[in-house]
Amino acid sequence: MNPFQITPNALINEIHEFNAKLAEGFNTLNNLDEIESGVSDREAVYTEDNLVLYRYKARTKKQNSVPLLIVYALVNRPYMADIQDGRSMIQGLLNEGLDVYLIDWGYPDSADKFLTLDDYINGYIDRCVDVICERHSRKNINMLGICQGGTFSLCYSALHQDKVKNLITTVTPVDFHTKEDLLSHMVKNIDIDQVVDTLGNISGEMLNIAFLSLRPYSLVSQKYMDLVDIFDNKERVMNFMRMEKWIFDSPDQAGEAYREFIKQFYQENGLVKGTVKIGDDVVDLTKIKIPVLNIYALHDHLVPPDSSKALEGCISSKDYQTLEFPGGHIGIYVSGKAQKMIPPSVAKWLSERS
Amino acid sequence: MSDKKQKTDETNWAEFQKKYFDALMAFNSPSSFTNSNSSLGNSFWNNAMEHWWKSMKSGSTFENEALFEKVIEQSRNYYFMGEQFSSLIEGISNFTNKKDIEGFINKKFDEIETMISQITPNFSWSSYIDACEMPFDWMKKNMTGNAFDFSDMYEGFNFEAKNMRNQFLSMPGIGYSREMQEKLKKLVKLGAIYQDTNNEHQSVMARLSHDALEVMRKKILQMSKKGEDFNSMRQVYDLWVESNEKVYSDYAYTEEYAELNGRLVNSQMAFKKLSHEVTEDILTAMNMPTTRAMNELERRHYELRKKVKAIESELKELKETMNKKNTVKSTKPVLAAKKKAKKKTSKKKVIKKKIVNRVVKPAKKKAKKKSRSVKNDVIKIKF
Repeated sequence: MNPFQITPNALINEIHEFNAKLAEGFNTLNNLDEIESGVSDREAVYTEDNLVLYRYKARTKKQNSVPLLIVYALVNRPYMADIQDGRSMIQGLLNEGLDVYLIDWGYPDSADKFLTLDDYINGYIDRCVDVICERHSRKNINMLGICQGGTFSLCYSALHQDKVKNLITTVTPVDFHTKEDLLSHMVKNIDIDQVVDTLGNISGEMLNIAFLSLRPYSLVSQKYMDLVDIFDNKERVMNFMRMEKWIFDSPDQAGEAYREFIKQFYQENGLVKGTVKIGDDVVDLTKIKIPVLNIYALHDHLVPPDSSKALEGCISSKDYQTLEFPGGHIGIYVSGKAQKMIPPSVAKWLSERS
Repeated sequence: MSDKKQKTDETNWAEFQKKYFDALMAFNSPSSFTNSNSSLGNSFWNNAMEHWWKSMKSGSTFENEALFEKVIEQSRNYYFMGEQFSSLIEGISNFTNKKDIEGFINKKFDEIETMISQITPNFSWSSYIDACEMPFDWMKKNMTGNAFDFSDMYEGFNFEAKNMRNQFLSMPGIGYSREMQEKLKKLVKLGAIYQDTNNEHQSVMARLSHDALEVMRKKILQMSKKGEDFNSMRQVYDLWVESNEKVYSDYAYTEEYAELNGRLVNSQMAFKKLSHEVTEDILTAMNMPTTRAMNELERRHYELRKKVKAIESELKELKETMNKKNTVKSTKPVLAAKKKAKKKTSKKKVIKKKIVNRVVKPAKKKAKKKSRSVKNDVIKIKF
């Protein structure tokens, strides 16, 4: 049979509707409210160079006595974890009675191009942990790593295990050579030394291109056609704009740290092989004996589930649990489903161990 | 399914364009779309939208203009597709026989593929994306955003010209500026290598979009066999996206693509690196600041920052130790007073204490030894 059951009238109506929506979109976009970067109340408790350590205001009377430090990735901005009222992982954690701190790495500039992973992990993260420990008169804290921040948290825990009581990793790459890891596949023949020597810091724009090239037609084309479909709904357009702002709010990457990360983690797969060197220390994941909760997303196109699940075979912890989220890399923080699932699970797991 | 409806609409194709103008009125707002005499060629939908967008853009300060530009770009895709498929949709309604329908779909797809491949004689990805603004165009623009990027210089060079170019570039430099000549020739050579790799990448992408059309054709024929149908152009567009994504994804996971992508980035970086070097040479000769000099300053600054942090950390530790020692000193008179008070206790109590001391003696000795070896004598305070 004829698979095109589209009549001229239907086609003209479709175009008519499309054009009307496009015109409406012009007005909608022109009259949007300002898009905020993070919604929960917080105070800066420590600053160093471009880094700011925030403490979020408690939302419950009774709190878990062990503070939780969120270590975000160097890629994109951490307000994704607090993107909107009611769609905020941080709000969820606060509602569950957790005392939440967050590292905001800021925007590295050319003066930061020589920062290494040692500076980030044994320097910035360690000093943030010390600040929190001092504030709470504690010897250790709970840590939650997001994506690359999860990888950093693993390295930190392996090197400073006495300072981490419980570790939660979310959508964290561990094995960088799994079959589905397109990012790793695309970067394997790139001469990273030449890239960093040429460019110094790596621009956020370049990273965006790399991420978009994983699904170019959906992420560069179809997404904007889908936007036309919702142009008549201001609230949905606001949600779209929040995500759009976050996606393209990409800080540059400190050149040396980028060089080390891509070479040691992506190209050499050093985290699972035990060859990653941070400063003078080799990261040996088998040293991790603290309780670990590993949360991964089933439909993650950036960090394939297998990459995260590989953690189980790498650490010595006898208290290891996984949590599978039925969504994608970003959905795990911003979707309605995630709000109901992730913060309560994290809080419950921590309260059993704090 | 809707054969009846189709027959009633058959004659309406003649009014198609006229009705489109009515549809365009949906764009109408106080400041918009006043010129209906825009040149309407094959791409009349695109042209009309362009006209509308230009008039809207010029009349307002639009915060989200960049985003809306992206939407407009995709609308172009959508219209382009609508135009390509409208003749297929128009013609196919004349057939009822299954074989004729399939034959017509194949014929039209051949035409679409031929049309696309005839955009330029050397069908290139860039020429295709010029026609319908594909995602990679945007990527390419951003990747090559460099003042020294003359990567399009050799586009369209034929084989003989390339040979001549290579011969010219292999000539040795002569005279006083020999070194600079060599460097510049190397730069041109690297630019050419990058351009060749970029062309190769674009041809591969073009091949993939061609393959995607094939996937789309097969899917449509399959739908025809299964009795499934499209009810809107948007569904056709979504199938186009799905087909392209699948073909691209299948290829992106191959070793061939990893190798090509590596060569593309490496050749671009090699070219950029040398172009920076040449610029730096010129700036150095003019006694102007260079990136090389800035890098050196930033490296020294970084090392100083590191040293300051290390000193701060040591200072903090020292302060803590001092504070603890001061606390210990200040508690000593209190401990002495306590000792005196102990002497005044009754004999009975002393005997009891001695017995206790005797029992715990080894442990106490150990503890004392340990406390001496610990720098921060917190334990001493407890005693």
